[in-house]
Amino acid sequence: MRVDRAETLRYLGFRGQELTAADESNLKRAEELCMAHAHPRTAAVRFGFDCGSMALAGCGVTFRGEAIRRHLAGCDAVWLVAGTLGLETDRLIARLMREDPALGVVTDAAAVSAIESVMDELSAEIAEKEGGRTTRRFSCGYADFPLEQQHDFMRLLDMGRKLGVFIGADLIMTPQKTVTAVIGVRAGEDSL
Amino acid sequence: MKKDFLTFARQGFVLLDGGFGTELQRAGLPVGTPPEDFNLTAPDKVIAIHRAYAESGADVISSNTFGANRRKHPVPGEAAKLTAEGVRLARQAAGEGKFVALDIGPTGALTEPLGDLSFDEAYDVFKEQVVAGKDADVIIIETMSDLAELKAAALAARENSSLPVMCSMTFDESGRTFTGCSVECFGIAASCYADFLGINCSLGPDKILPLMKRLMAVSRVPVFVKANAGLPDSGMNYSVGAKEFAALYEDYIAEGVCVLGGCCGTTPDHIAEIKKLISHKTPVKRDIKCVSAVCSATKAVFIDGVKVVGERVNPTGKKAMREALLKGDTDYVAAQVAEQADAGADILDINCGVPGLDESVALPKLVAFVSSLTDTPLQMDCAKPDAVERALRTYAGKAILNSVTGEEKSLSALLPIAKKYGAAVVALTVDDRGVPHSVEERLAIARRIIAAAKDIGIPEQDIIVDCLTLTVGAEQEQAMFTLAALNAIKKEFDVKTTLGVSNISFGLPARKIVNTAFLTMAMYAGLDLPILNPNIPENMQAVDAFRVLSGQDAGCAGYAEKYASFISQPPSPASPSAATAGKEERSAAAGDGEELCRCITKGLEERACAITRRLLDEKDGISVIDGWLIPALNRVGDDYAAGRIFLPQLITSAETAKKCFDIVRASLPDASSAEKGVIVLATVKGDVHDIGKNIVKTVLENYGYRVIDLGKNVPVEEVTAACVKHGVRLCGLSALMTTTVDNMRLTVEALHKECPGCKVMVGGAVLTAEYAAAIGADRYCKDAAASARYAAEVFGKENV
Repeated sequence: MRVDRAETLRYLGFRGQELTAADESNLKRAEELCMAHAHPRTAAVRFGFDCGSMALAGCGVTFRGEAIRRHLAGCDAVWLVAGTLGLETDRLIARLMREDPALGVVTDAAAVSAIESVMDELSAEIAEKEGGRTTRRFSCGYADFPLEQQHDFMRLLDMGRKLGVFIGADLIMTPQKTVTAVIGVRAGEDSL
Repeated sequence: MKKDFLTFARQGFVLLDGGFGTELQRAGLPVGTPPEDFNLTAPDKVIAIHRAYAESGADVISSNTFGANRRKHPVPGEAAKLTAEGVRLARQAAGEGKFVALDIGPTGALTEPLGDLSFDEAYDVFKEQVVAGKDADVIIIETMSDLAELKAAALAARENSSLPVMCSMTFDESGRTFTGCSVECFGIAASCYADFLGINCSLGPDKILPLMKRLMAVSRVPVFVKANAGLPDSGMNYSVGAKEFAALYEDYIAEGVCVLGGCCGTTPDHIAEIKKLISHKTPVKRDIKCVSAVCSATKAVFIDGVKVVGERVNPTGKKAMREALLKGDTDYVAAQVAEQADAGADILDINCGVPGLDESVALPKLVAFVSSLTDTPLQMDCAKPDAVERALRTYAGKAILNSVTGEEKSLSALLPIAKKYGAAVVALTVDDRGVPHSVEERLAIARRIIAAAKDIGIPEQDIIVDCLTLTVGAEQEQAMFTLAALNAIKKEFDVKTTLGVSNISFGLPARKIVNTAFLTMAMYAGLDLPILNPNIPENMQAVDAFRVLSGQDAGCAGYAEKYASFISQPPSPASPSAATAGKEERSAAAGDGEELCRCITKGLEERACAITRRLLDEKDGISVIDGWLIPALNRVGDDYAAGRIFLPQLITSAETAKKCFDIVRASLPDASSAEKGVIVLATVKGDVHDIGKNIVKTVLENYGYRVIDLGKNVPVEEVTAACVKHGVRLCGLSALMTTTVDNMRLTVEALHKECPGCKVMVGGAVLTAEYAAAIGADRYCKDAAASARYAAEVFGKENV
């Protein structure tokens, strides 16, 4: 896990403005706090996949939506992946937003960068396992991939028990810095 | 006739069954399918597993109902049906002589404030399961990681069934759950509502053993273990075989654990091996100690020496706190909480006794709010039974109830509440004859309260006697009587003691001197819980010194660390920084307006404050606000809109302006004349993502508006009630998710109906101007600067 300063700034709407000493110090502090309070955990499970019916093998789950269909075209397997920074990061950001809001928003952005880096590392491991035949990550809520399918991720990855991730009635996951996604595995030449 | 589970458990070992989900998967349950679905779709497979466990020697067969709750099965009636059927199948498979446990797992949602699950909703979800599973012999609530959710489940079990209740949580190797609850907090808080406390899942027997020892050090009830068969590999194969698993349980048995079973990855073979193991062993009797301790959901405080109770969240004699509570100024309360915790308070006293405030509503709310800010355990300072009960019910940890008196009415109303919710209780030595004036009278009342508390099952370790501090200036001999009574009580009982310290010096000059001396004398006499202001350094210094002298601070380590660089003389007022600031003030005499603007936009706080002070020498406060502060903020807003500054800079500028506003306000005879207007802000029901709303709040406050922040996940009625109550002209609503914007629509509709004079501005990641218009909002604000512009429009300041 790492915090990328350029990414953090991008999430904050930075477009090359002059950075003050206070900004520099907030960025540095946010990076330190973020690394100290995050407890990253990940889960990943591979399923056989039929890109015609959009069904995952052996679990009764079918993906819905045209966007995910296009994304997974030509794939014969998928990885469901999830990662979280843990609740302590939520508590940290809530506290900073009360006590030092400027540092709070920077830390929030740094935490987004951190969870993205966790997911990037996981994706890279999977890409290596699959000989580079993987797609990019695609998450519920993108385009017409319904957020309701978050429940499928929760169950298939046993996210409550393994990652400490909770899901609310609004289908939003807690801890807030939690990501779920599908990574497609394109059918190899041998299986064509 | 049904056998009684508790009687059976008292007679020897109890063997629970093993993993169910993992066994079902071996029997062909597709990954990700809710196991409880099989109760209806493949009951024979469920029965087969139950039967295998019964045959392996398990005394208790747990129903396949772990996830059969309404949050996971929202179709009305489905959860109850799956539960009832699960219990029926377990009973059918178990046969004669076995017990059936109604198995209850977490809802999968997180309780408030971090999640959206309210205590009452959690209670109702579990109540449905408890009622549907009424034919079981015992209820086992397991794999919990959220202490508040566990409490909701256990109370639902206690209040809707007469069955024994077993409660178990799941921890990582460090002894914390995913939500941060420690083994100690679990043991301390849950002992009052469970017949057994246990640890299950996540880890193998070897890794749970040290945690089990920690649990046994605080649990007041028998304990149980259901370990996993080690950790699974990537193919979900568990590593610890049946024989090895049973062998690892030998240590548990030696420690006095008599209730044993298995969790994920364990099989009927594992249970059979445990059966073999216990069949030639005699249970070891565990000596259950009653430890004096309190806790929040994530922090335990052992009362094994002097622990400080912070007194600041109490409106009595504190005008600012009274106003804050009446106005709902959560920031003021939050600052008091943070300061006391930072200053070293171990416990915080919470009191909201203000005329005009309904404590039965206000106290639970205040307790929930303070709990969201700090992990410091709380003391509910209130004698109204309904208020205390509501506050204790939803408080996840173990609190202190302050206080009961020797009056019959107080004892009969409050002690049962303390008992039910496992609270420690302050025994205030007054009764219907009033304040006692001798040592003997104090002792007599204390004895009576202690006897009454013990009668209903509150142990001495949970009783904290307050021998009453009277004012030494008025009744001089009473100080020594108080201390003599305190000392005598400590000798006679194993109770703890408390005193409000600062009362002693009322009416005297230089009160701190007398307070500190009294505090030291009282600690020496046996005071455990001084109630004081921890922000006064002398108070904490006396406590820290006492901890050294009494040996509580082993090796003086805490003292040495805290006071290593202690300077006894406060820095002189003419410090170098003040001198520099003065020089700068003079050099910047010209062009103040421009300079103030620059300081605010750059976030140069000290300098901005200095200029503001100088401007106030020449101008009145309102002119400073309208002539300099607001224009500076407008420029910041424009810069932000034009992309010349970015978000953290906007906030830093706003914070700087706020400091200047504070200085101006302090200069005004009537601070409210500087108030631009009152605005209610809320993140709508169902949504717990409030970072955007908080940014808007910061910015609006810094523009001089008074913001009533209702928080997140706010029900429609609460928003309208606040707007009506405060007669506000502007309300801001935020929502992050497409799924919650509908609640925004409902809130906007209700606001237009209930408070026609109130404008509504809305914002949030998924909102658009079109959608805002479609749901009837008066304005869509894309960011905090936009909301400040709209506020200026509403409150009619054309130059803003």
